[in-house]
This record gives sequence, structure tokens and C-alpha cells, in this order.
Amino acid sequence: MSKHEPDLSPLLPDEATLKARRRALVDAVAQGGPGRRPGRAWRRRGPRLALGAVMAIAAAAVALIVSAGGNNPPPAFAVEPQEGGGVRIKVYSLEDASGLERALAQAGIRSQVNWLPAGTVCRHEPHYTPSIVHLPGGGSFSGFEGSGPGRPMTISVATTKQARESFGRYRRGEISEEELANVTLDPRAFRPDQSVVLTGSPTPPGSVPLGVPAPIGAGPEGGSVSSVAVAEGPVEPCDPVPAPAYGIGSIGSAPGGEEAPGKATIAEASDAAAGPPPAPGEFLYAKTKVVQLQGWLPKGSGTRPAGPKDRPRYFTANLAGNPDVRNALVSTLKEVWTAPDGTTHVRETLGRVNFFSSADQRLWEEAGSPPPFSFDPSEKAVRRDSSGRLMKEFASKSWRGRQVFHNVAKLSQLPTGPEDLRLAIEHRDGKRPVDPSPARSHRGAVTAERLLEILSEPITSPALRAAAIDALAEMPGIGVERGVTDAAGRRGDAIVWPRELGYGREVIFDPRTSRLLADGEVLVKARAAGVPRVPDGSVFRVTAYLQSGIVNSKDERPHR
Amino acid sequence: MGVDLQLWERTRSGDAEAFGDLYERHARAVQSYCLWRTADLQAAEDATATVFLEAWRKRGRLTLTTDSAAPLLLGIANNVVRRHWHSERRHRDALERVRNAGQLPDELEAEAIARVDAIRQLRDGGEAIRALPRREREVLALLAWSDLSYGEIAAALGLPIGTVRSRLARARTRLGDAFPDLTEPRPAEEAL
Repeated sequence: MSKHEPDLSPLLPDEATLKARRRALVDAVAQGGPGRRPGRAWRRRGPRLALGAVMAIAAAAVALIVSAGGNNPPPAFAVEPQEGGGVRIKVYSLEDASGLERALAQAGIRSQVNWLPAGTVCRHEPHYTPSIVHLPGGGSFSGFEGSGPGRPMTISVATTKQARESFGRYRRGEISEEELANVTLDPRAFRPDQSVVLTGSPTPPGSVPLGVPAPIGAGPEGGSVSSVAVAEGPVEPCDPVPAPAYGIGSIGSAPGGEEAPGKATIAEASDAAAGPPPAPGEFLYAKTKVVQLQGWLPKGSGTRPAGPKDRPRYFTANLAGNPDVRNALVSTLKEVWTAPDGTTHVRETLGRVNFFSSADQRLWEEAGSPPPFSFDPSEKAVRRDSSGRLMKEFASKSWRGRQVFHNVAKLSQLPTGPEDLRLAIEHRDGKRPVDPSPARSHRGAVTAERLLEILSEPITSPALRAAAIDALAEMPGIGVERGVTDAAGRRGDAIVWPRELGYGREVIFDPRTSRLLADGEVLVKARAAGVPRVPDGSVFRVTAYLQSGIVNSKDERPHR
Repeated sequence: MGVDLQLWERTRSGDAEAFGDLYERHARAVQSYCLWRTADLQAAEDATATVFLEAWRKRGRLTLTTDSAAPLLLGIANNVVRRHWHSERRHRDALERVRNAGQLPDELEAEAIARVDAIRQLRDGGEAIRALPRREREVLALLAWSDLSYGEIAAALGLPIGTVRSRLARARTRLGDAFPDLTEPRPAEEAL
């Protein structure tokens, strides 16, 4: 507790008051206080969501059920005329692509339908020019992706007015959700050069391809990966190739899309998942390199360094607001052994101290090359290792460890399609989907934080990581940079999310495996962050993930 | 299973008495936090009642991710203080009842003076922190005026722990020497 804290007891309820208030609270909530009428919130939300839902309906699990086959295979799809005009096309299995194209054409929509073998994607992704249809009633539709088991895919071809009417009937409870289409397309919204591209591939039971968004614990009927997109101009034929261990999201094509990655990549991807938490007697080992921006005061500057006179502390936690403070990037090698109960054993070794100019470095050397404050030899637990490097070792009751293992169950339940994942995070499962909120909005920021949290869990599966990366990349206000280098010198792609006050969140991942390489904060605009001596784009605090695995003791490291 | 986890599970299934137990366990901590944030007794009492009414309303959607319910309740408190939900009509009737249940008949003068004094100290003590940008203020306020660990602060605010750390680092940068006990990292918490 802070020593500045005044005594609050005169302002807190005494025992009798607390009991009286408890009674009043319990009475209030037990008698149908707030939240006793489920469905009210939904109804309130209805009109606002209706438009988006009519324009682009993608149910939480937009899925194509792949029929198990049999002697008398059912038709691949059915065309059902609707009351009041329009047709609804129900897709039951990924067969008869040309028949489906003809049915759509008769209803007034040009299309290319690509039903692909399991675990494959089109070689060139996308193989068409993406486009948007503007619908007469406002709103737009450019497509969506989905994966998972679920009800058949249904495409309604109807005017916007008809679609609105049917959604109104659904809201009034006159028709069931099953009678609403996954996708509603209005032929009048399409220009003559625009068409729809439908792509899908089954994920047969028990053979979910690694890295491809697919259901975890899919039912015996299997599931599918599917997308609906609007294209303009000519659409190239789709040439199926094995899917890379990478989502099909909007980041663009997987690098090396020309040649699909072979077995080596898939092995790497499964390596990247740390797998189950440690059993009793085991430890989860994680090695990271942390690079952090710190401040230090050159000897002889106007500001007196902190600490006792005989051992001045030149490094300071104060980065901004003092013109005397110079900056340096301090790297630390951090090894953490986490036991199943969440307690950790931490070993930190000081790495290089990098300066932004050779003049700064000279000043530091003239001051006797003082160590960063967290490695000050007068600090508890700081000593030198056999190579003379400053290091410290300590035990910690880390909440983080507990949380990691708590999350195992939660993570394995999350869907692995980018949109499904976002909707699940936003607690919209089973409701009408909406477009991603901009990252600068409150809702968008919460979603992005949660997606980043999923990404940084060491136990997240490659498929889930790919979905989280794609879901982030689809959010307005979040950018993707190709070919960046992380703090350990490895190449990857980065998700960059500019935040407030010149700071930005950056996550670097391996585009082939979706493996997380590094995660942290960078100074997008150093001046706005109050450290004008530092160049824009510099690190504020970044963690590069080097190695992890299960070991049997606190002295052990996993074998490579 | 911890006591709070059990009480919260029962609350989720609609057990108002279990919720009452949670109120008794945490109402003072929530009110202390609201006092620090608002430096206003009336507002803090209303906010405290609102926190519990909101927790009850949202019980079906909220899961305890920590052994204690404090991070969850203080996370709601943070939102309540930020958005001034106490002025919303949603809980007006229930709020009246909870507040009146706590009315003391007649205040002794000494008590009144103690209150005024505490409020003045709150206003002075919290001024530097209330002047911080919102995101940093929330993190630092939880660190300073609740017993939550970094991890529990992360849970309360729905943030990754790394973000909590970096916001604290920035807040410390801004505060400088104003709060020396807050401007040094907690070494035991510096694990991965």
C-alpha cells in the first residue's frame, strides 16, 4: 500500500451499514433487478444490426456440411423459390460446382465456384480483383470467410427489400434462423463486370490440415473452409495447391505461394506449439530476449544521479521530461521455468547496451560503463556468471504462469477461422456478424488486445495463431509490414497497431508457420512519446521468443 | 476452489445470497478504489452500488479468471467511474434503496471532521495521478490503491500483462519523483 494513503476508514461503511446495504442489494437483485429479462438487449440491438445482417450474413459458423456419401448421394445443392420472389440456394456438399454456377446465373448472379480437395487452396490468392457491391439500401458486401462444422451454406438471391422483409420476419420470430440465408445477394447491386467467387474445401474428420483454419473437435460429418468474395473483371481459373500453414486471410498470399511448403514447414509449425502444460514435477521453460529503452544521465550533466554518492546510479527510470537524459537500448536474456502451480524461477542475464550515437556511447564509457539500474550490483540477487556477465536469479510467484495453464481449456475451444474467432471474442457467437470495429474504437481495441493475448500465449495452436493474425490484419487501423527483422535478427512479418501518444504495438511472426517471433511496443512517433532524441520506429520494449519446451528440473533446458 | 470462485459460480446460477457474501467481502475495497478515483463520498458510494448491480446484471457473461473476485469488481469499478454509470437510469431505484439502507441517523461532529479531512487528503494525494492520461491513470490507480498484483490488474482491465507493464513504465516516467514508492518496478513481479 502506498505510504501517501490517508486513512479512509471514516469514508467506508461500518459493519452495520455494510450489512444493511447487503440486505438492500440482495433484495433489489432477487426481486428482478437489472438483467432479469434476457432478450431485451438483443431486441434493442436488432434494428442497428439488421442492415449489416441483410447485406452480408455470415453465421457464426458459416459452414458447408460435407455429406458422408452413400449409395444414393443426395443432391449437392437445392434451389428453393422464396415467398415474395427470389431464390435460396442450399449447398449440401462440395460437388457439382458448374451446376451451382448455372443456378446462380439463372437467379441473376455471375459466379465462379471452386470446390477444392481437402487441404488445398487456389495457387494464386486471390486469383481475381477484389471488389465491393453497393446495395441499393446502403451498406456494402465484399465477402467473408468461414470455417467449421454447421448448417448448410445458404445463398439467397433476392432484392434488398425482400431480404429486409425476411430478416424482419426472423426478428419477429415468424421464421427460424435456419430459414435465413448465410449470404444474401441482390443481383441489381452488381455491375455487369462483377461476379461472385465461391471457394471451399472440406476438412475430413480426423485429418484437419495443420495451419488451415478448421474446427477443433469437428463432428463426424467434418467441416469446411469456405469463402465468398466479390470480384470485378475477369476471374482466373483456380489451380489447387496444398494449403500453406497460414490462414487465408487478408494479409495477402502466403510468401512462397508459388511452391507450397513441404513437410519441413509443417514439422516446424507443430514444434512452435508448446503443447500441454507441464505435469507435476515438470517445468515449462521459456527463453526470451527482452530489449527495452532506458534512460541514463551522462556524468557531469546538470542532473545529479540517483543513488548513494559513492555509487551513483546513472541509469534512470525517467525517460522523458529531462533534457539531460540520454537513451539506450538494453537487452536482457530471460529464462523462466514455470511449475504447474504457476510459481516461476527466473534467470536474467544482461546483454548488450546499445546507444543511438557513438558520442552517447563515449559518454557512457567515460562514466565507467555503469550497468542498467535493474543490474546494479547493489541490487538484490545480482551477481556475475562464469563468463563475467551480470545476471540475477530469483523465484517469483507469478500470476502469469497460473493464467497460462488456466487458458489451456479456453484456447482449445476457440474457433480457428479469423471471423469466427473475432466473433467469439466479442461474444457474438450465434448472433448476426458485424464488420470488425476500427482498432481505435473502444470495442476494436478490446478485441485487438484479446487477439494479441491469444497470439502471445505459448500454448496457442498454429491454426489459432493464424486465425488471430488474420483477424487482427482485417481490423481497420491495424497494418501489416512484410519482411521486418525482430530483436533476435530473424525475418518475419509484423502486425503494427499505432496506439496513443506515439507508441505502437508490434507483433512479429513467421508468415509460413504463424509462429510468434517477437511482441512488444515501438515508438511510432518518438517526439509524441516524449523521447525526441530517439529515432522514430525504435523499440520501447520488445520481447523476442527464442525457445520453449517442457523440462524436468530448474537447471535444465530443452534440447534443440 | 477458492471461496470467491464458489461464490461467483453460485451468483452466476442466480443465488442472490452468494452475491451478498461477495458484496460483504469486497464492498469496502471497491468503495476505497472509487473514493480514490472520484475523491467524492457520494459519488463513490453510488459507484460502489452500481459496480455490484452491474456485476449482477452481467453475471452470465463474466467469468472469474483469478482466485479473487477483486480484479473483476475493480475492473467494473474502473468502467463505472470512467463512464459515470451511476447517473444512468438503469439502476436508479435499486441505487436509492442501497444508499438509504446505509444512511446514518445523525453524524457526530468528530466524524464529520474526520470525513472532510480524509476527502481533502484524497484530493491532494491523488491529484498527480488523476492528471495522468486515462490509460496510465487506470493502471497506476489500481496498483496504488488496491492490493492487486500486475497480473490481477491485467485481469481487471482486460489487458495483457505486458501492456500493464508498459503503461506503468510510462506513468512512472511522467510522475518522476512525485510517487517514489510507485516509480520503482516491483522486482518480484518482473517474471515473464
